[in-house]
Amino acid sequence: MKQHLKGILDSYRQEDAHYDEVFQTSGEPKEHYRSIVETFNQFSLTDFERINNDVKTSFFNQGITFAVYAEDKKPDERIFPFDLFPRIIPSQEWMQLERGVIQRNKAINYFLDDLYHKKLILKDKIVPADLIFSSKNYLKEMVDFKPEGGIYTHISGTDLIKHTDGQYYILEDNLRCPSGVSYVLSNRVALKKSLFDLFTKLKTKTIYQYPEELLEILKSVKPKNTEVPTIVVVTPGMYNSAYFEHSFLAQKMGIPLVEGRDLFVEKNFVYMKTIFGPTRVDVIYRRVDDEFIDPLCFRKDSMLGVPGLMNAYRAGNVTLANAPGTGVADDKAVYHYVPDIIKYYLNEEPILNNVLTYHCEKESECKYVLENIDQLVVKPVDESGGYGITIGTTLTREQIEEVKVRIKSNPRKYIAQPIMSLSVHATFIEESKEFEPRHIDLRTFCLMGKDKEYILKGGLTRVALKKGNLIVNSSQGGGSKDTWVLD
Amino acid sequence: MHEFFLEYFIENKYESPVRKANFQLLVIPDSNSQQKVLDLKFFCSEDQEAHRSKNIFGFDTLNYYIGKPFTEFMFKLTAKILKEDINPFYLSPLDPATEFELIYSLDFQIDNYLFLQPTQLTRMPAETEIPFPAYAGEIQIFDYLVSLNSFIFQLLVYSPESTDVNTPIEEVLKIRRGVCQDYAHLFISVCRQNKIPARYVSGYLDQGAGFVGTGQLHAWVETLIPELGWIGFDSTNDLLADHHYIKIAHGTDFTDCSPIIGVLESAGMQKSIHSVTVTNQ
Amino acid sequence: MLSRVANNLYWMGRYIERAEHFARYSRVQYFSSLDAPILKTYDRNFVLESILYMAGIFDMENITEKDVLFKIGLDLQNSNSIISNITFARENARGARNAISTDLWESINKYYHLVTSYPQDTYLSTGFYDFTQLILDQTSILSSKIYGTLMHDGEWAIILIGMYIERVIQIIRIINSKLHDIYKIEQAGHSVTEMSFEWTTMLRCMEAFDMNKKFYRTIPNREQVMEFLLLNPHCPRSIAYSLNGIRRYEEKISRNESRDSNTISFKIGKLVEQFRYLSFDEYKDDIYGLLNNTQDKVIEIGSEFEKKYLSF
Repeated sequence: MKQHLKGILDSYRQEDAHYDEVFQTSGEPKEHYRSIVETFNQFSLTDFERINNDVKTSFFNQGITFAVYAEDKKPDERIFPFDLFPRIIPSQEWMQLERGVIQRNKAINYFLDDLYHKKLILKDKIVPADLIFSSKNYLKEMVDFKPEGGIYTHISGTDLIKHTDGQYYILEDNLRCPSGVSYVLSNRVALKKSLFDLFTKLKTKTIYQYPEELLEILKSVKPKNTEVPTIVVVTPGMYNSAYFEHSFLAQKMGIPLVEGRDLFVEKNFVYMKTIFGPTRVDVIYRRVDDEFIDPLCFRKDSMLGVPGLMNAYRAGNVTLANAPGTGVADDKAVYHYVPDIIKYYLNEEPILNNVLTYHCEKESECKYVLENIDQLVVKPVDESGGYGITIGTTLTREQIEEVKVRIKSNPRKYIAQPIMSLSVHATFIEESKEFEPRHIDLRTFCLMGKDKEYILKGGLTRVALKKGNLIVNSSQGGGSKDTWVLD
Repeated sequence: MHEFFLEYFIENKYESPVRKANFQLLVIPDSNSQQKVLDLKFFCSEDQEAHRSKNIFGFDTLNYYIGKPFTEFMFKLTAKILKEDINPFYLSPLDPATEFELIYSLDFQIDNYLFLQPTQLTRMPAETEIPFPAYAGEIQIFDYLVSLNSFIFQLLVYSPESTDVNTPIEEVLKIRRGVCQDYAHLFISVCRQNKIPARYVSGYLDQGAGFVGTGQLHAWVETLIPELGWIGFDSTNDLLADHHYIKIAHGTDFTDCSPIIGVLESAGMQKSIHSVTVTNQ
Repeated sequence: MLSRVANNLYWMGRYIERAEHFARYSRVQYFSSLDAPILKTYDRNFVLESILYMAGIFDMENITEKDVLFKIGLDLQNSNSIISNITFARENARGARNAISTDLWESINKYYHLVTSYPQDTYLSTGFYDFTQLILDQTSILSSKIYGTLMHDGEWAIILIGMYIERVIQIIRIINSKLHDIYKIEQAGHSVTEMSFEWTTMLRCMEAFDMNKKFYRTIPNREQVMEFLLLNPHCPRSIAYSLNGIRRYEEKISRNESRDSNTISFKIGKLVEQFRYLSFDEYKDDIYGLLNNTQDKVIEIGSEFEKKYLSF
């Protein structure tokens, strides 16, 4: 434990077990944090709390909230907690990350194209065929269909962590409807309003152009024979926990936010119902999961979808972003093979590391997992939002037995990884009114269009607000920070 | 050359008005080297023009979007079919061991994975006491399938109304009864367990030849035999599909071949009548 | 504009307007009764009944004063309560988030949070006046945001059509409710001055007392109040004015469609003109008939408008 400079960061207690993003082991702030730490230390606690409260109120009034649903209860409306202390990534470090993320997503896109066409990677036994064919996210509706521009993952969210060794590791790929980018943009606005002085100390890269870049990407994959495409965002509706983001993005891009019930398909073209009659829709950024997008094709009971949408899509009359069936590649069981996938398609060494992964599907690895559950993180392969994850060190003996039973009953469903020690970052804790170290990760946002790509400089730094907690998802009590990539 | 005249008719009546609806029909006979479709006509009661589009397996569907309220939906299709003579005695040029090796090669399995994966409706229960014949490469695949066809024919009792389109194999094996699609699903299930690609086929069956299962659309199975291609087996009748069998479409199981799918906005119940007529001219 | 979004905007307008009228009516009724000159009005039940009548609640057995205040103000179970109306307004605004300005959205959202977090104890003990004032103030903020931060085109017009349709309906409800009160008092026989108190209350329920006084410069009586609230084209709380509003904004949507007698524009026009050339003498014997007939017509116009533009 070490003391620091005078000021509100004085009481910060460093934890030796984790990689601290802000402070060196000597207790001094790292070079790229020095001026920020100094600025923070000029605040009195009262001033800081006032600023903090103002920001919270502003988020609330703006409706930057998500709903937590519990059975038989009215949804609880909460803000996604925002921590004022920004996370800073030095320029060199970022360059490496950026190259790594783009490399990974390019390879994944080739991979998807191959899986839905020639399947060479399976025939060459790089990835086991059974793993792919048994995945419910591998859609026969996509077989032999080429999406416009050959792009499957227009928007991908790659989650990274920094381990005790100071290296970044990929935690997972999100290739369906990765969310969180609206928080990145709102956080920056909030920080600019409340702590503008920080921006005079360090020069950070801008992020405001993300919606414009997204719109360009969507335009680039417009169906052939469309001059000026009508582009829409499709949301499951205002009761969806990410509705704020859907409406935010539509608004920033200046395009309509529609629901499935606003759309219909006639003669394989998609139309939206406006007060003056039907208007054709050409590109859909959909935030509805595959299985719900078309009740004629997938789940018959879906109220969120558009009957006939898949036919229109396959006829090339509308583009869907992301393409259906991308989920097969962000399956946590496929994750393990991504380094091989990168080598196979790009003939390059992976720039970013994967976390070592055990597949319970493989007998020998399953055996190891069952014997070492107390030292491993066990994840179901097809859940998102941090649900169903167990962390070995936190389990009671009974819980360990329960997890074992679950794994044995369906080994294909589980993977395990060593417990990675997420780096920590000074974070203001309202209960103790002090800055304390909290675990963080980073979600990057990568856009891919026809002959163009874009990566948001920085991304969403998620922080686990509960002491010692490693799960950063908002539904599990996580917050976020503004993320700065230095110019 | 054989000539058939066929008619497909469906009428749905709704208790309360349907606000809007999408219908997708998969009832147009396939055009292929063994059958030709002539004089195809179809219409629906709502005076809508049908949109014809290919489904994921390349078969023609008819799509209707009805955007105004209605209480009745009627559809009728008629066509004349010319069927080639089919000699259902297949002789593979490959010996059993070569066939076996081919079937088990990774490339073959990857290329035909769709028809090798179990689906909801073709999943064999984990345990069954029924001694289904197993394919081990000792005899030719064709001979094996002929014996499997008879086995299933003898195992089940044809019994209309005993099952519905969603009945899983587990239930069929329990009651040992079923209709053509249960025979087909069971046949597919055993084939896939034995790594022989098998696909569900829906179609029309000649009503003048004394077969079982002619009142409605019929279902049978096509299996892929190296060098011979896809060959049709009908275990409902313990026969090989010949010129009496008019194919509409194939898929992984019934869900890919539903003759009509409707997505409706409505509150009430519906009554449905449909009929199929196939006459040999 | 998407039909569903238009539907959200229309109903947002209606709920905002409804909450306002409801808040003002209950507050004026409640507070004016405290020192009313007529014995009948001192009777608490009489006042509470009148408030509940407006809220469409007719089951009044064993109901306490606090029950009534709760039911009309903060009761989420009662879909007519002020809090429910504001919740609906905000839900509709959320559904049309992209069609309105950030400014307007944030004001509505803030309004919603202020109302839903209003402490129930305070409301029931000392907060009724403050609470209803909050509703009136927040409504003014919304009005100014609607006028000042939206393009004056389709979206804007639809919100205002919703507001004016609701206003006509609410004016008629309030007049009906107050006429009902006055009738009961008249049966008991009272002086002209005492009656003017009731006419004044009616005007206050519409925030039209000052305007009325300025226009007539006498003590309010039946004839001038009825003329003012029904026919005055310059009083923003009159039926004639509100009908004009419906016509003005509907024309922005219908874009001068053909003059077919089946069109919505035609029906609105006819109603507007009816009120323009009406004199008190013509309807003084059947005020209820005129009010009910007008209400039916406006409701019909509203549902035709919904069917034509807002259904999806």
